[in-house]
Amino acid sequence: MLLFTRLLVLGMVLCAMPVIGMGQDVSPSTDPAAGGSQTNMDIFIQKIKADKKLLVATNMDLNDAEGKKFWPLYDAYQKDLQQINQRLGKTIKAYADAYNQGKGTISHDTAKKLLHDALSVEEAEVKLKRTYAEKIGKVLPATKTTRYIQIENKIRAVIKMELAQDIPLVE
Amino acid sequence: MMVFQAAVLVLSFLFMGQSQAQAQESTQMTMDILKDKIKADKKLIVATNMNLTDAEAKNFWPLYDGYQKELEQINQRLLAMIKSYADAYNAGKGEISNDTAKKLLADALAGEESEVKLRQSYAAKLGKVLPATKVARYLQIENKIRAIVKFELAAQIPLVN
Repeated sequence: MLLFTRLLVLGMVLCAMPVIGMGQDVSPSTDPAAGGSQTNMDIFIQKIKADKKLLVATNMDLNDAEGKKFWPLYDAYQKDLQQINQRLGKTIKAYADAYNQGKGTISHDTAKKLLHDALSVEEAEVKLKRTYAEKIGKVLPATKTTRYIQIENKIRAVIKMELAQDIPLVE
Repeated sequence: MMVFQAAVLVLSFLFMGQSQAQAQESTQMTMDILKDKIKADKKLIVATNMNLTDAEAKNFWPLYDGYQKELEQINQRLLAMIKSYADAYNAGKGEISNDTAKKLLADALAGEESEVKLRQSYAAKLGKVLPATKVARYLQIENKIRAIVKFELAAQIPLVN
């Protein structure tokens, strides 16, 4: 990896991707001898997940009845979001590999596939948000549903900003 | 407008929509001039980063202009929504009703969906006249600009109470 190390770390860390299911594609190291760093990444990702949940909890002011209904939906949303994040991570990894291999240039076929994948991920993300906004809207007042989606949007805006800053333009 | 001036200004400036809340004509004129400048600045950023040949440019710029026009409509909807939220937020001294929240959320989600659909539509159109690498590059530029706008909005818009 020549240029994209920070980006790959961002992809994994900021998107809080799970190591399980990610396979060897975007793990920081697949060398058994480097299992220590894998474990550290696991721990780091778990901490980010916990930090996010705490951030949501402290900003939602849920009563007990609301909390009982909200948290299972939150967990399910995060699980589905994780799958989208994994697809995003793979797209970034594929771009990084092609970019590094081509020393800054990529083929038209690769560009076409990456753009297609990126647009599909965006579409899936918006659909997922609508799905959970509707589910949460059935168990929480609209103000709290909106507040929660705003929190998710704020977190996502930070991630997207970081990615936009770090991903170089296609040549 | 107490709290939301910054967010509305960000939108007014960056999104280049028609200003709806400018009471004074001189302010309106300044806003129009500023919006024209931002449009021109954006076009220059795209031009200097796209390295188009003459033949590519001939096909690209009409599509670019078409995209910006449609994007402006989405931005105007977003601006109207944020202004509604600002008005409700300020009228309720930081609180809004469930009905207002429901409508705002529905509008926000619809806006996001429109934006994604529009991007897909123009990616397909551009893909017919430019090499895939240049289509991807252009949409990356749009995404970078959009990421800054969304980040600014996320930073400025307070959470619903």
